Amino acid sequence: MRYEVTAGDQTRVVQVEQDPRGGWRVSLDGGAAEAVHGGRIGAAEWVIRRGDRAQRVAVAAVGDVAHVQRRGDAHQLQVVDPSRRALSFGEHEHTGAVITQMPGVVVRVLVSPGQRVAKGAPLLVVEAMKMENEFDSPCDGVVESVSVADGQPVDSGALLVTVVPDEEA
Amino acid sequence: MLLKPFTSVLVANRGEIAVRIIRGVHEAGLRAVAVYSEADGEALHVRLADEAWCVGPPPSSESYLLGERLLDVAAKAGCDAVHPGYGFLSENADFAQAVLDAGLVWIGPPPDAIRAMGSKTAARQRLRAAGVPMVPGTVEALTSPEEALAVAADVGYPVMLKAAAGGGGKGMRAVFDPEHLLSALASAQSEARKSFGDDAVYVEKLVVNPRHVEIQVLADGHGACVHLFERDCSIQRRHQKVVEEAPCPVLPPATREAMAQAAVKAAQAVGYVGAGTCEFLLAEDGAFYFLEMNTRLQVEHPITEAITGVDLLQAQLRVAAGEPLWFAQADLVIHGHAIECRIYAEDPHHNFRPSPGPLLGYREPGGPGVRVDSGVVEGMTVPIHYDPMIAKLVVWGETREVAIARARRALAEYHVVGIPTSIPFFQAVFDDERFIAGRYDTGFITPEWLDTALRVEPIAQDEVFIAAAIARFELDRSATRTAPEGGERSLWRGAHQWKTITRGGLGR
Repeated sequence: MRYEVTAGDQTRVVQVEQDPRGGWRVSLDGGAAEAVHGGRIGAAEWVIRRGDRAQRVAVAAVGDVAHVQRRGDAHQLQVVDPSRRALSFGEHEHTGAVITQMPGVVVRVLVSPGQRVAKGAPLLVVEAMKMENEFDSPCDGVVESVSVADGQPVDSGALLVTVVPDEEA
Repeated sequence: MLLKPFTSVLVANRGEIAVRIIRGVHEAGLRAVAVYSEADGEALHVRLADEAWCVGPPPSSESYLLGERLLDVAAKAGCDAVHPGYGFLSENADFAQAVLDAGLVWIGPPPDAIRAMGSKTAARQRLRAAGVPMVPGTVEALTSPEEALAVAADVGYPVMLKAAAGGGGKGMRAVFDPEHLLSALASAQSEARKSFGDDAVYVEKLVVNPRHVEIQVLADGHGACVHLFERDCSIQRRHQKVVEEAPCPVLPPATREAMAQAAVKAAQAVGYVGAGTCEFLLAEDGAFYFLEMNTRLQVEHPITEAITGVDLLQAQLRVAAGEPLWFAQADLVIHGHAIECRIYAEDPHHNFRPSPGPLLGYREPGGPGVRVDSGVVEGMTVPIHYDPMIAKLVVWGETREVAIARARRALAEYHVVGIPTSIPFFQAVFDDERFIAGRYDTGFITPEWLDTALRVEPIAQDEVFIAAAIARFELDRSATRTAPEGGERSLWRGAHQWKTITRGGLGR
């Protein structure tokens, strides 16, 4: 399986296959495949061994996101299967989609469809962990749809509001 | 105030402090009864208690804050004492009184002491009379603009205007010269009226670049009151403490002694019993001023336990049971240095936005000088409804230098997978030269500092990319093999390339 793995502004192509003798065959950026072994030491904690060198790594994948922790540094990577990306393309693609990156409860919707908003104007407020977090309009435009209502719980990744930017209208 | 032996404690809280209380109660040979909301069924405090009672839906206003329901559980579960922890109902004098009226022991200060310290202006008047140093200024609300000008000239600029009913920074204005005083007064009054329905404003001298230093006190019901030295809580973000250390790295012994005496005086002035904390502002010139008294066990109490060897929770239990303190002031000395980091479910790389969610992987650091007080376990979901603090990392070392090195080491060992936490933020604090030198005040964390110190996301090495790709590979593989409705969150299922070696006789 071939994946495009992105951390910050660095994207690398990682090819992973199961090794029938145990572990995996892994190649980085089209290089030679090497044997990698993994031993599980916790629910999301592994020892990864390349050759004779073993390192403790905490890792878990959720959808296209992989959380990795190694020697005190936490990384959040995008791991994309290029063959599947085509299927999801087109969803929320324009700049006016306001999506929450954290779960919470919608406490106040401040706009309604058809309303004109300026860039930076408050659209709605989501509360999580006793903190109110305001979501602002990413652009000048017109509110096309409001996908949530007051009091509604939302998950991470949920679409909240769509604003049609002026240049697209 | 009802002080008498008890056998069974209702722990009226959640999270790490509920766990701390349950452990202390068990160490005292007593029974611990937990309460929990529907969002906390998986939490650690529920698992550790002798029994746990559900008290309502997730919002705390419908569960943890319902005093009557808690008392109902106490009766049904046969409890004869209540420990409130911090937050929630811990500084609610009416609840404390209701506990006593129900014939139960309240493991906290007398309701009158809570009330006396609860009103800022009343506490100021009472403590000033007792000789506790206050920030110079008016005690009563200002009655006229002329009075404001006169008082400000008297205490000297810069000054701070504060709403008498205030809190949370509302109705507050810093004024640096007389020309701006009257317009600032008008806006502070109007903001106070809008926020609190009361436009009373008083004026205080503005303490520039203060440190926040607090004194732990402990009083028994027999007239003894001691202090357990100070904690420096100047590393704050949005007026919230994030790193605390004990002792304060810059406090001269004479100032420590004077501040500690002021704290003891304040506690005695309100007839305090139990563990409490007096907060002070420490000015650059070494002067200090009383801020307020917290009438409960504080979040940061473990660093005091680390440097004094006194178990504050045991002290609370024994004092509430009517025992006298078993040590005197002269027995207490500072041993070594301790630092606490409050581990929050917040993403420091995205403006500290809350990051509740599933704890896919969780492993706490250990080893010499490391203590972790937490309320979470691997596999549970950190709920959206409560404070984002999931754990406290407390380190101790013979010197401050050793403690900082240990904090760094422990943070690097700490694994929290699935949700971002404030761990990278603490790594940046412990790398900062001003922190290492002990030269900092409550203005240490600024947006500019955050931009520079947290700008660099760690560089991902080959192993990180490989681990991420393998994790995804195994996720895809298990998804094609398990039934779609499986809903299992266990990742990397079926990846058992390394056989577990079972030693004969073990693990059966």
